[in-house]
Amino acid sequence: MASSRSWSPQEHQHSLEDLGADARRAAAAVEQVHAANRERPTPRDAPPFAHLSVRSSYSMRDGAIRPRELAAAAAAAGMTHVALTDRDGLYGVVRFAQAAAAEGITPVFGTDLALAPDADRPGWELTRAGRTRFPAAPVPRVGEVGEVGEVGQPESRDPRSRFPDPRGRRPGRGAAWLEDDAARVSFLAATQAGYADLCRTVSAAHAQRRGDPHLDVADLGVAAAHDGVVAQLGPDSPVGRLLARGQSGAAEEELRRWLEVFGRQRVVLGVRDHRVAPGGRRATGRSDPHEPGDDARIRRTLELGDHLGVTAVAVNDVRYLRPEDVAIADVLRCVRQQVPLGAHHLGRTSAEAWFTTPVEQHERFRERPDLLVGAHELAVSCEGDLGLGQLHVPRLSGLSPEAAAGELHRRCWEGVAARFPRVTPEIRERLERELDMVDRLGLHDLFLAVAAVVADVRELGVLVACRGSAAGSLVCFALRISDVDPVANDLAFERFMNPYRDELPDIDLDVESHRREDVYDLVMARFGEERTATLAMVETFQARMAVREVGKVLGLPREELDTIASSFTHARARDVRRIVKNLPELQRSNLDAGQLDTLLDVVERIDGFPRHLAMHPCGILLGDVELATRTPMERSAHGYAMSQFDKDDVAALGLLKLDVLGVRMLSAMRHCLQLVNGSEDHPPTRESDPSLPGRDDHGRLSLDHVPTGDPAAYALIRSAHSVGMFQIESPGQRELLGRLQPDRFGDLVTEISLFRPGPVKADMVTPYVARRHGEEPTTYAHPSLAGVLAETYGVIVYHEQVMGVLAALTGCDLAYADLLRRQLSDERKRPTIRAWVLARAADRGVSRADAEQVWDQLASFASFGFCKAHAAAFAVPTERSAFLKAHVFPEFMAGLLTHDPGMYPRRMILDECRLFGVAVLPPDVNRAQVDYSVEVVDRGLADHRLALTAAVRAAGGGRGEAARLLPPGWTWPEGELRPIPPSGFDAGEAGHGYRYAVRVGLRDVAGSTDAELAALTGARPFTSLEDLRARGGLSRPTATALVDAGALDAMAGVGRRGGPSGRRALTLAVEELWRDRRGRRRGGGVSGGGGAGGVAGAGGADGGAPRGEQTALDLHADHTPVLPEDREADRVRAELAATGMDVSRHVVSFYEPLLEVLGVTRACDLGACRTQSTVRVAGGKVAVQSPAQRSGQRVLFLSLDDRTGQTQTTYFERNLDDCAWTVLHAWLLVAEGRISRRGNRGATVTGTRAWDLSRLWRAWQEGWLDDALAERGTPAPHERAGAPRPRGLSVSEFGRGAR
Amino acid sequence: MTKRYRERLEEVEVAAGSAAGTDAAAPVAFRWRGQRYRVLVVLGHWHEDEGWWRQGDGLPQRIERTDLWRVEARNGVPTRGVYELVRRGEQWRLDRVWD
Repeated sequence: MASSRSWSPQEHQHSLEDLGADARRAAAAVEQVHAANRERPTPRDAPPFAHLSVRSSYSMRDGAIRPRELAAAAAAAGMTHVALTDRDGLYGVVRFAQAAAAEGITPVFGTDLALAPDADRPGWELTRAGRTRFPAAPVPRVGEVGEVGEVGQPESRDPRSRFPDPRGRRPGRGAAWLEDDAARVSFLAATQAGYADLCRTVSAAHAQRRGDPHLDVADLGVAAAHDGVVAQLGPDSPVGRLLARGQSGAAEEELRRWLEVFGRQRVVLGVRDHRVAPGGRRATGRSDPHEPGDDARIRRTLELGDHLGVTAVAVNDVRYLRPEDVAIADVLRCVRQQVPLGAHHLGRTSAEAWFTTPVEQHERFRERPDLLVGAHELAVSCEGDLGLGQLHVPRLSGLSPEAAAGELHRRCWEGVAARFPRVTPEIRERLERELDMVDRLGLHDLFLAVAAVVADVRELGVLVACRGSAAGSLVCFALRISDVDPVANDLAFERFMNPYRDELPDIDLDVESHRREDVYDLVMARFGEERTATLAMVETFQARMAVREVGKVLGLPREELDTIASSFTHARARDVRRIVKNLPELQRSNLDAGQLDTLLDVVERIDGFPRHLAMHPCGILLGDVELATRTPMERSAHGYAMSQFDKDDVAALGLLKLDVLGVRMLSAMRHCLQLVNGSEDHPPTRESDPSLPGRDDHGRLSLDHVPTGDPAAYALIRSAHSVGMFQIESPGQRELLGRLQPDRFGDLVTEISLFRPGPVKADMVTPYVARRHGEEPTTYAHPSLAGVLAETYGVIVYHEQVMGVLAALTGCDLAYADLLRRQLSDERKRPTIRAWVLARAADRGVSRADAEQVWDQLASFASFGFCKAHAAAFAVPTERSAFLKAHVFPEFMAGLLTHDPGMYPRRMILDECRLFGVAVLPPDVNRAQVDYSVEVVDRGLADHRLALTAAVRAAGGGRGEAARLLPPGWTWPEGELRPIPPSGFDAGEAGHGYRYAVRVGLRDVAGSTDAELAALTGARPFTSLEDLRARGGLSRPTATALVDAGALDAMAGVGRRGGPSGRRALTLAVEELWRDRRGRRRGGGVSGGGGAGGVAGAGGADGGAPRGEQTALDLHADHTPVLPEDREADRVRAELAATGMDVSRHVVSFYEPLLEVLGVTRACDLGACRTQSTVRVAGGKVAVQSPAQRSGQRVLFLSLDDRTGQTQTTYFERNLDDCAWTVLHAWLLVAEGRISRRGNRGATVTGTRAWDLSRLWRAWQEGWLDDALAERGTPAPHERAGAPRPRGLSVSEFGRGAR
Repeated sequence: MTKRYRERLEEVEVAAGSAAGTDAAAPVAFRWRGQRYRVLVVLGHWHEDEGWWRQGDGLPQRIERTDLWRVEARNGVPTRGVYELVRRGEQWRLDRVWD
């Protein structure tokens, strides 16, 4: 439903474990360095040194050292500075800077970029093209020649992005290298301006092609723009390559060109000694005549440097921590390139790229200590600073600060005047205080910008809502960012804007989920491409992916890898060994222990390594011209500009982001409004109903005009029939609704806040409900708290109340109270806060005992409370969805069915329609939309679809007779003209003998594609099967699925005189017609005639086929077998397979006779059962939940629907042995247990037994029902028949059906 | 001119007081085909590594390294030669000779 949610306890645990693992690894890194130092005592003359070239794990499948390990190791090795030069970006700099600060070492920021080949620059060419990348240089110079990749597509003009369209790329084939071997140069930020240039340089390199960054020669100027970037030319640089080839003249020329651009002070030559022999492998493999060896490389580099007066520095191109970690780096390198592990894929002959200590480095350059000193001095001279912890409020409006402030004040006062009938002193004072805070924080531009975005989104016709603490701000309300009145709802803005906090206030916007990209485009268009970017999300190696990728590189068989990989879901890679040990499948595996060992070792080691970046689903960075200097950018898969930083990085950098979340409920509501108000392909459904509230001046239903506190909506909420309502539809919430009996907006706010894991576990609900209904007196720990806690009867429910209590007790302001509140959950800080609070309370004359009592209450609830503003922001769509359900039920259901926002499966929503007396119509090929729609049908048809016909006909003979013929759950009280649906609400009445019905959309027919459906609906209407065959453009599977779904019944006239006898006959006809593709080209439609051919009856002559032509169907028709009669059960089973829904009849209805035998109680009758009595309930499985319990017990919550409503059954641990298998595996169930009850409503069952209904049916038919009822646990395997599963449902056996 | 041998050396003396595997453990003398050679000067020292994945199960605890030494040596007679010695573990061999 909502994509932003609080973390589950398990996720918290994981995150804590991650932190712990990080700290352990850093400690291990320190120990490693100490061990290395013990081995080699530091000589007296050892010069200072700093690593200037290091690739961390943020090089994405290249480096194998984590930023924190790097910082810790460098500090332990006695370095004062250390650089990070990840490949192709600055992905890891924020984490690196944080780690460096923690380790007390100065970070140097850099990156290592590939250079785009350039015809004029020797040394820049490629000798090996990557797959689908730059073509190789025309004349390969060095021995090996790689495959020539495709040339990228020319730039397209995609208005969405300054980057060209990525669709030019196609996946490569064969064993080509994924990456080319472009020359690479490291760039280091020497000054603050240099860091900005570095960001821009990285963005420039990524601007060429997505995922294929190369820096163009023309963009070198970007790096040199402010003389703040050092170019470090190492062995892989053009200069280094030319020197290696012995082309000293060309190398000198190349180096001069770099000096021209960067200046002598900003170019250094990197010298690396990896002890490579001349010829590479001399002793262990085939030597390479082009390899001069490190001695020659170093000598030539130093000569060149001396000649031109360019500083040379010692580097080691560090890629891992310990010498033996080269194995990890090797595997990662092959994973990156998607090649098998092998010496020729590693590009190295020695393994020396570990994190060398200064002593080890000194050993390598014993004769030239100045190279080490040079590295150290360069590092010391670098002064890049990310500015962590500072806030950067961008200048978004383009106005001067004074003008922006004036504009904001003006619009707020205007907004308040428009929003409130009378601006009371309270409102005025509140707005003044808020504007004061905005002035202090300098946030004018932020509010103006967000208000503009919201207005634009509304203009676009997209529903938008504000969520989160921003809803507590009157400024947001006045600017129409939020729709919650913070004054009436008593919301505090300090929770949102707080001068004591070091982060910018967060404004989150909810928009219709299927329009989210339109909103992105709009934001980008408004602020300009250069000033906005989406956020990145770092995808890391988790167990499943790691096993697959590492295993492939190690050459392990794919099936074995699949077996292992499929046994993890979200497991951390470091836990992989523990999980694999308990895998029974592996006992039969063909992997030998050694292979498995290597695999698991590597997988454990790369746990949590970044793998690639993805676009964050909702974050958008808003900035000004400075944004491009604060974050490097690349392009997301959708073509949006995307920062290389993730949300944590951005928060640390103090950048402003706007979260735009796609919310399906908003899409569902929009669909509902469109149906009500009418659209191009749908007339308005409520024209004849002037009494419908919530209409705007044009008579259109509008959410903005939905009245708050609508009685019908609250009556529906109190009935707990809340399926489909935003945030309050889960079984647990429905139970809570029953107990709470909300009757105003504030109650919904409370309900949403109380239904959180914390309050539920602490059972805050019971005292709250008791006090609300007056069963328990409302008391306060101290009279001064009455003002704060009166609305919740003395129970602390909201964060705002925690703040209010702290303020009332100590006299501090709310902003400071919010700061305290945030620290309350920290056990270590609590004693200090307690002492302070108690002392201040004593000063204010509160007795010690009272103050302590209040404190205890605070301390126990502080971590549970919920932000009231947030809950209030949620409650707005909750109330609106309740309004829609109460007043325009069929349209709202069509919206839910189309956009699927909730927790329930679609078939359950269909059942909800029937429970409210709204008939469900099959997806008719001529009448249905692609989406779900609402039709007004004649009452007779509706009664037929609801199985009411018999009862309505019998009504003349007396109500008693009629009631007996009603489907279960329906009632027909005396004096009523119509029977009452099981929910007690009849939402289907359209007046004048007509009723509303929901028409299933074509999109839910299995296998249908958007294109197919668009073509189909464009070519309507169809008069016959042949017509459909000729013009519909349908594939055979889609056509048969349409038959199964019932979509062709009406067109072909199934069941009508002369029409096909049933869907089975129709299927045969479709298969014949679609069998031969050439049939149509020969010009032969098929003509009607007897048996199955009768399908043509509705209009077979249309095809105009010559009578004499013998077609396949005619042939078949001669031998038409007598088809067995269609059974309804078969039909419903086919519907389930084709659409995942039982459209024509509820599945459970087929089992009625057995349910009688078993004495099953209906959901609608459960409320009348005595508490603790034993009952049986039955139904189709709607949901099974297994939430974590405080006690650690495993509990299963089972929801069943039986066409009269839903039942909830709870299975506790002691019964799980008997029941768990059935509850988890069957989807039609019978449950037995005792009734338990909380409050007036909501009887639930405490389950003791569970059976698979279809199995019981079979047992009953075959005469062994008693045996089946005695079964526990997992039924004997041979009895489990393997029936095909309906689409979208879990393992199931739809029984043989009733006869 | 280069002659290739790839012959096992029976006896190699390394610099005193240096742990095997460090750069200081340079050969100072060796015996080849019955003759004793004294190292005059070390001309080059390089490293090579072999595929760790061929070395057995699991990740390597230690990366096995091959050391190459190119030395100038003489065996009593006035002529000098350049010899390339290879050490793999504790095994030494002579790969190339220029004389």
